[in-house]
Order: sequence, then structure tokens, then C-alpha cells
Amino acid sequence: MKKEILTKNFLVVALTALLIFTINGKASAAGLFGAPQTVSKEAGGLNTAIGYWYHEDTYKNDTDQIIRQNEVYSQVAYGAKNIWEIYARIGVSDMKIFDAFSSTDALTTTNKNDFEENWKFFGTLGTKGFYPINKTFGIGAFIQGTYYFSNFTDDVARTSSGKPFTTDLKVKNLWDVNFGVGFQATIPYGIKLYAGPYIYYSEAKVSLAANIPSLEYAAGNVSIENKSIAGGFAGIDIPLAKGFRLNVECQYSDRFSAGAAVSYTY
Amino acid sequence: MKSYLTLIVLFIFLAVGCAHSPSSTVLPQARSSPQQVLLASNSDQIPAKSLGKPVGNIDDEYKDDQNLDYTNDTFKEERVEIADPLEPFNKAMHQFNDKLYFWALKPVAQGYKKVVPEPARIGVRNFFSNLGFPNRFFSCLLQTDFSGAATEAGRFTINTIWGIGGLLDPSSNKELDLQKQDTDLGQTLGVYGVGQGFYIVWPILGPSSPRDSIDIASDYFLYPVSYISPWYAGLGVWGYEKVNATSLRIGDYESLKDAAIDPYVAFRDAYIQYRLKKVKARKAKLAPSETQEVNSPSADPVLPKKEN
Amino acid sequence: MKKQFAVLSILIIFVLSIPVYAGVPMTTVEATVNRVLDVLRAAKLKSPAAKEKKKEKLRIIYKDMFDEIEFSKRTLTRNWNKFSPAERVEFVNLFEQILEKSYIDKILDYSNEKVDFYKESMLSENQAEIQTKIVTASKEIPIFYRMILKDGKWKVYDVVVENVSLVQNYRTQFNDILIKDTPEQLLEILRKKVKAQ
Repeated sequence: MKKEILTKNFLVVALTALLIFTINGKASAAGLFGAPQTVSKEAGGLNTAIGYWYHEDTYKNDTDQIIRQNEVYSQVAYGAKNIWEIYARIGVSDMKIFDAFSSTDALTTTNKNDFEENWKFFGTLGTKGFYPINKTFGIGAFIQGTYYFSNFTDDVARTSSGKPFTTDLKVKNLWDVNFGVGFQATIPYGIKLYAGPYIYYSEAKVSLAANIPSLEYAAGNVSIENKSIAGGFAGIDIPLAKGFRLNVECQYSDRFSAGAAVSYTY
Repeated sequence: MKSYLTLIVLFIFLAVGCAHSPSSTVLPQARSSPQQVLLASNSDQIPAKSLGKPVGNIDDEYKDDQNLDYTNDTFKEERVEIADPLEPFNKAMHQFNDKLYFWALKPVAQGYKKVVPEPARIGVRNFFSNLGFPNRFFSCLLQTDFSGAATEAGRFTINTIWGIGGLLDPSSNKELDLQKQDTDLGQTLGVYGVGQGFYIVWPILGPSSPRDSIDIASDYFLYPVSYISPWYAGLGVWGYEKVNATSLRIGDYESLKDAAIDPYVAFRDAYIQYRLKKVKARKAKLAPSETQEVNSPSADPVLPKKEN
Repeated sequence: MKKQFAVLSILIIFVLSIPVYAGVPMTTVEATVNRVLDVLRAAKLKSPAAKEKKKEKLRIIYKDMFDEIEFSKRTLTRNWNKFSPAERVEFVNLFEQILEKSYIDKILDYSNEKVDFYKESMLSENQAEIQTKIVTASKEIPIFYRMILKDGKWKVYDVVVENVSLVQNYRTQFNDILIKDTPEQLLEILRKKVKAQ
């Protein structure tokens, strides 16, 4: 008897958790897109950068779940002719999902509400092209993809009707791809302003495992996909001294994300 | 093997300058450069070249009466000598290192050079050089060279963050102009007046002295590679670094050895001079009012002054 | 631009009444080194057969620039007196040959690097030091030329490479040998070396 109830509760809990992730829309856009035009020198050269990105997003369910990520990354890029660039990044990111573990059911208590996990490595590859219309204006396009090398895991201790059990939530193989178009204006002193729309797609596998003492170990997997989701980005790229540049950007697609990077042009 | 071995393609200039083949009698007439016009004098230039010249001219040039200790020179070449009480041991070690170079290090470095392109090898060298930051930084601090310490800190930060972990060296660019402060703890001791002591040649590590050996020992503690565990992995990395560095300098050691009449003495002297000049340069940097050279105002044009 | 500096410095000299030839050492060295680089880079002399021709051309240039007697004397210092005139002649000859054979091949390989002349200092009234450096892809080699003014012309009497003075280096070697051997024996050592090269 008791067993059945527990199992049922577990399933409810599990399903709830999974539902959250079914609609987990805007998973990590990994970082700044950068100005549509490369900062490398015209004859072709490297540029390197270090960046920080604060990412926040919401997804709608019966309740709003917010995820928040802080990313730090290092980038190496090669560009030429002031027109094209390819870049690669490696970075670390954390992940926090607010209220991921809150129970929807009075019988279940939980020791914490948020899913939280610290730094996991990710890699990003991207390429961009730029077409200058005249000396000031231009238009460019980019495509960028990110993949997380490790999984985000968090667990929570819960009780259901007084019986303790633990639930493990794993977010695996998180990846995304972004595609966008940007308009750029160059104002005096070499400052570039840019803005544009973008669309992206993200996917992850979420697995849930619950360990109920005296019951068998139960686990469930779900693969989440998104419909293409769109957003907008805007930023500014300012030359500092001696080959360094500061790039500040924000993105908006349901929630606001922003970040900055300092680059060096060889 | 210290970096003085990164010799000297331009010993060549000297070589060619003094170059003379006994068979070429063309040379005396071939001198037609415009500066020659200024010289009517016949006693100048290379009487040695033309054995056919009248004896009187040779005598002029080889006169005894000149002060051969060159004490009249207002600029004195510093006499650099070092005691060598361990000479038999040193000579044996020198021989050992020589064989080690030709039989082991050089073949490996040559093979490595064939396989790996130069930019990659330069990147590896930059990477290891970047790791040498603690030694250089603390040496600067101990010498109270705070600007040098700041430069080193800046170099390390920029090269690590924006130089792909130290593989690239943007700090040395003309724009950033943060030059490597080529100093170590041995020089620090030298700046404080500690003499070289005497000459020692360590197997594998090369020429040194008690003062500079302290440097070798403390460098071990300040160099991150030493802390790689297990010990043989650290040693392997250290060895790789040496192979990579040698691959960029193949030929330098051979040149010096080949040009020397007595290789052991040549290397000893080269080592001592090199270290002495470095210490002098550090001292001059710390107390700029005491520079040795007398600059006439007109002869010191506004040219970029690079640290050696 | 360097020529302008030379001209400018000469003008300043007149104003400040300093010896006229300040500035000339730098231009002398520069001109010579550039001539050498021209020979090394000459396209028509790239074939192996042209090696001898190149060597000849280089010798001509360098005879101008270097003062072998001064150089040789300074490596022997007091020992110079131990040599008879004929021995001295032979010494200078042999010494030159040894140096040439040791380095000529290396210099012939050398053509693409940049030579940077960046400082001239007067060490005394008739001595100057020109600081240059060779910039290659993988390293920078500082080379200083020490020059002496003899009979109105500036000539190089010492080359200091990476802080190591050639004169000093050979002086130590010759001195060590001449402590126990006679001049004739030293000459014999040199002859053997030339043969072996």
C-alpha cells in the first residue's frame, strides 16, 4: 500500500520536474555575439578576448521558471579583410534554475527549491561575415553554436508523506545554435554600434533519478527540444588603448541578458 | 645551456671582415669604397693582406711602441677573469656536455625541428617563458626594480589572458612594449655585490658558478613545471622544453666551438662575460646616473632604446 | 631617416664645437652592413656556384670595415711583443682565416632578417660603440660594434655579440695558451686549425 502511494508520489514529482524542462526554452546562448564586423586587422590576423556573460531566461509553465547563468570564457578568433571571422571559445558556466525542485504537492517537502550547479566547461564555435554598405554602415550575419562538455547535476532531499528520498536531476548534452543578422554603424573614434534580430535553437537531455529507500531505483529520461525562438541583440564596441577593445552587449528574448568582453587585436 | 649560446650569426661579420684568403691579391686594388677617398695614408688598412708590400709598411703597423695594455684607452674593456680551481672536473664535464649535445640533444632537436613548424616551436617557447614569470618577478622585486616587476606582472597577465595561455607574446609588440625583464636570482646576488666565486660546469646544466648555482636551485622552486607530479612527468616536460629551445638555436653552439682555439676556455670566458654584462646592465638600470658610457649629446639621436 | 640624423648631428656638432666625426661611426657601420645584406640577398648569386663570388664580395666590403691589426693586437695585448714581425703577419692571417671559415657559411644562410641600428655612443674621443640588433622570427640578437678612429677613418676593432666581446674571448684563450707555449707553437696550433677546417 504504502509502496504504491510512494511510487505514485514519486511519479508525480518526477513528472512535474520533467515538465519543467519540457518547456525549458531558452537555454544558454553562450555569450556575446560581438560586432558583425571582425576586429582583426585587414591583412588578416588573430584576435583574442576574455568575456563575461550574464544570462537570464524564463520559460512559461503554470508557474514561471527562471534560469540564470554566469559564464566566463576565453576566445580566439581569426579574421581578415574587415569582412569575415571565425572564432572559438572555451569557457565555464554555472546554472541555476529557480524553483526547479519546489513541490507542487503538499505531501512532499523538499530541502531546497532551486537547481544549482557550478562551473561546467563549454565550447563555442562561430563565424561571421560582414558587408560594408558605406563608410559608416554595414550589415552582417553570424552563426554560433555552443556545446557543454559536462552535465549539470543537482540533487535534492525530499520527503513524501514523511518518507525520505532523494531526487537527482541531470541536464545533459546541452547545446544550442544561434543565427542572427546585425546592422552596424561606425561612429567617430572607431566605436561601433550594432543591433539586430536572432533566432536560436537549444536542446538538452534531462534525466531524473529518484532514490527511494526500500523501493527500487526509478529513473526517467526526456529529450527536450525547442521550437525556434527569436530575440534581439544590441551592443557597442569601443577601442581602448594599444590594441584592446571593449565590447558590451545585451540580448533580449523573454528575459534580459548582458555581458562584456575585452579583446586584443594582433 | 644558458642563453648566451644563442649565438651569434654575426660573429660572422667579424669573420668575414677579417677574412682573407692568401691567394687573393685582388683585394688591395678592389678597395674602391667612397670612404677610401678620404684616406691618402698608406699605413692604414691591412698590410697583412698583401705580403708583397714593402717591409717598411709592415713595420709601421706592427710597431712595438704602442701601449699594448691599452691603458691609454679612456674606455676600458673590463677584465673578466674567474678562478677555476676545479679545472679538471670542469673540463671533464665540458666534454660530457659536449658529447651529450652532439649525441643526444642535437639529433633529437633536429628531428623535432623537421616535424614541427617554427611558429609552433616559438609558441611553445613563449609558453614556457611565460611560466618563468615567478622567477623574474621576484628577482625584480629583490633588486628593488619595481617598474620591472610591474612590467613582468603586466606581461604575464596580458600574455596569459590574451595570448592564448602564453603561447603568443603580444606584450613584446611595439605597441604594448612590455619587454621581458631578463633577470634571475643569480643576477640579483650579483647586483648586491656577490661575486661569481669560481667556475663550475655542471653536467647537463652547463657552465655556472656557486652564485649562479644558487639561482639554478631556487629557480627549481619558482618554476611551475617542477611541481608536476609524478616526478618523471615534470622531468619529461623540462626535457621537452630544452629540446624545443635547442631546436630554435641549432648551429649556435657549433659556431662558437668551431671558431674557438680552445673551446673550454672560450665557453668559460663567454659565460663570464655574458653574466657580468647582465649584472652591469641591471645595476645601470637601477641607478641610471652611473652609466658607463659617455654620450656626446650629438651622437645620441632619438632612437628607440631597447633593453638588451 | 638615419642619414638625416647623421646630417643633423653633424650640424649640431658644428654648433657645439664637438669633433666633426661624431655621427660618422654609425653611418659607416650602417652603410657597410647594408652593403653586406645587399650581397647576401642578391638574387643572381643564389646558386651554390656563386658562393665563392659572394665570399669575394663580402671580403671586399669587410676589409673596409674592420681593422684586423687593431683587433689582433688587442687579443694578444702584451704577448704581441713576443712575436717577431713575420710571426705577427702570419698570426693576423691565420686568425682571419679561422674566423672566416668558422662563420662564412652561416652568414651566407642569412639574408631575411632585419638589422636594427639603434644607438651610437662615444666611448672616448676616438672610440665609439654602435649598438645594433638582428631581428629574426624567433629571436633578437644584440650586436655591438666598437670602432676606433685611425687616420681619419672609423674602423671596427671589436664585435660584442650578446654581451660577449670577441676580443676579450680570444684574449683569454690566447693568453692561456701563451702562458705555457711559445708564439711559434701558437701559430702551429692555428695552422693546424686552419687545415682542419
